[in-house]
Amino acid sequence: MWDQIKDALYGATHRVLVGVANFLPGLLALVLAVLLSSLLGWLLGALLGFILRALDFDKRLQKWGGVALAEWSPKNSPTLLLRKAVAWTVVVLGWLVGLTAFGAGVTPQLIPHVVESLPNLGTAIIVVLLGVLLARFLCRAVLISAVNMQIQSARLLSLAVKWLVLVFAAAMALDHLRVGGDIVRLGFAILFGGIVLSLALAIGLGSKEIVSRSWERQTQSKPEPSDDALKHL
Amino acid sequence: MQDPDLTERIVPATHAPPATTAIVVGVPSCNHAGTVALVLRTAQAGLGEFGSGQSSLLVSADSHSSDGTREQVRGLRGENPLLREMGPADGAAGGASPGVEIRELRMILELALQVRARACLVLDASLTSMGAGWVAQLLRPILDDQFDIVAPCFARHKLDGGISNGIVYPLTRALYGKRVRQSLGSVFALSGRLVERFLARRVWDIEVSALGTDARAVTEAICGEYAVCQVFLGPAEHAASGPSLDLSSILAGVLGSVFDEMNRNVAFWQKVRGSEPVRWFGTPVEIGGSAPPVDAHKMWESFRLGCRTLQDVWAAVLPPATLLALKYLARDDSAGAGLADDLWARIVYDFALGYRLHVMNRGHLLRALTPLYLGWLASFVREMGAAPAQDVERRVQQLSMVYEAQKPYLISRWRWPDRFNP
Repeated sequence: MWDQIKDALYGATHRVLVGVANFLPGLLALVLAVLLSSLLGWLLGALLGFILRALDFDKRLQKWGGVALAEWSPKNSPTLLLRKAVAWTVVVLGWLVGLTAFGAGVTPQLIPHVVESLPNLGTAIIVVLLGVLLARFLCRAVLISAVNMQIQSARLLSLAVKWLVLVFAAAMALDHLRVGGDIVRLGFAILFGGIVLSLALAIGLGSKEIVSRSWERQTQSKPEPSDDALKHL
Repeated sequence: MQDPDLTERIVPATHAPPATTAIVVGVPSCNHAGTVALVLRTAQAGLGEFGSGQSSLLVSADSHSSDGTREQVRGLRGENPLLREMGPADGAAGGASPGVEIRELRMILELALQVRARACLVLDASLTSMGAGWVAQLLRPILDDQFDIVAPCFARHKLDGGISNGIVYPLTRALYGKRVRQSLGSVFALSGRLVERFLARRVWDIEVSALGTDARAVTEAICGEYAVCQVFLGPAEHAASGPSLDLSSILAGVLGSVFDEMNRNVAFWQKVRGSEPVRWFGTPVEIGGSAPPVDAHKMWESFRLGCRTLQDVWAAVLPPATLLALKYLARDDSAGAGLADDLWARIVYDFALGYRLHVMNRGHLLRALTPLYLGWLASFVREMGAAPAQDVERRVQQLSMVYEAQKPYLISRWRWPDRFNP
């Protein structure tokens, strides 16, 4: 009886230790790969930053007309953006190497899948980037125009436009990556439809007189009466 | 030197002009069916009254009107067979676009050069208050006194011309050192040699906006060290053609031209210190009727709204001390303290620098100045609303001197934009 218990305990311990012995090298390899890639990413990023700063890249880009990139970049610095992009690419590659070392059964399928989806991923990233640029541009344009039209809720209006464009870009990117499937499409349609409906109701019910007066002026081609008789020029 | 694209579009005249013509009077137009005939008739009468005995040519340049302006001009040919019409040979009409009048202006200058004109007068087709005497008043300084450009100074109500009084005049005076009171007159006369220079330098090749074309002409003449003078004229009333521009579009159009000129002539204005008067012709004309009522409170509220919401946009252009001063001012619900002259001058200089450095989309940048301009205007109206016209003029001169005093700030920021500016 005692021998059987002892055998069972030895067997279990043996299996656990074998499991740990099989698991540990992979885990250590993952940790090592992540640490090394982080270090390498940081080094490469720093080196790139040093070179770009020496070339006065930010100012040159501004002269070449890359204002949009500068505006989108963290702290308005395209150098910082490129530095971070390089560093994070190396870190992501390090994770992939680490995962390959960690679980031979999972990652051989993961790597080709990741490689296959890279073009889609690239397109989705471009869609998101363009969406962010457009959102920032429209947000500022709406904000300035609304303030100049003396609309008190100018900030709210500009934020609404910004998030509408961002959500639209995100929905397009997710749809392109085939993430979420119909849920994303339906979610976006409900959100967008809801906004349009609420705006239509607000205008239709709340400001019908203003709209009808404005429409009347448009159709009769009458100039809008100005309450400011001053000539500015 | 001639632009072949433009020459091709000139409609052959029924009567060819003489090989040399002393005076060319040009009217660039775009959808001005209501007023173009009046301006052309008045110009014709003015040329008759002038009677200098020199050959003259009256030209209407139009390539985009779709409201019957060209039909109006053609109708006038019966009255004046020497009237020349310039535009696309096929007669195709297009939509009105910003800068379209610049193209027409270039056509007129090309013709003036072709006929070796001694003087070229450019008139605004939207004028409804033009007098026949204006033609002689604008042309005489060129033909008799050898000036190269004549800028008009229209009679106006004391608070009118806020953009001119608060920005364009003080800025132009501080930058280029000449006191040209109204460079945004939309009417000007040029000498033959200045026409040649403008075409050679391709001054109007950058078609930014039709607004500020006149200011560009004056600036280029000053920077080329040509003789500049100004003439007092009566009030200038304009008829609206098409949808009227809102204030921020006007501001963006005018300042776009002024700031472009600043960028083009850096080497000139950085050497200029102080300013000198420019010779006047004629006598000041009093404007009749009472000044229109102005709501300064509404302007100040626009400024306060801008201060509450546009801080992030302004932060890209203005230094922290200016932003703080603006925040402090915006706490006041009446324009009690108002924008101090030195603060206002520095704001305009900072926006000029922001325009040069392209810190954001230039249209956004210029439009973001609107609430600040309204804040300045509200302060100005509060201060000068009850004052006589002479005091208002004195106040504008005082503001201009502050612009001159603040010029070292502009030069310093222009040369070292990255230097810390608290």
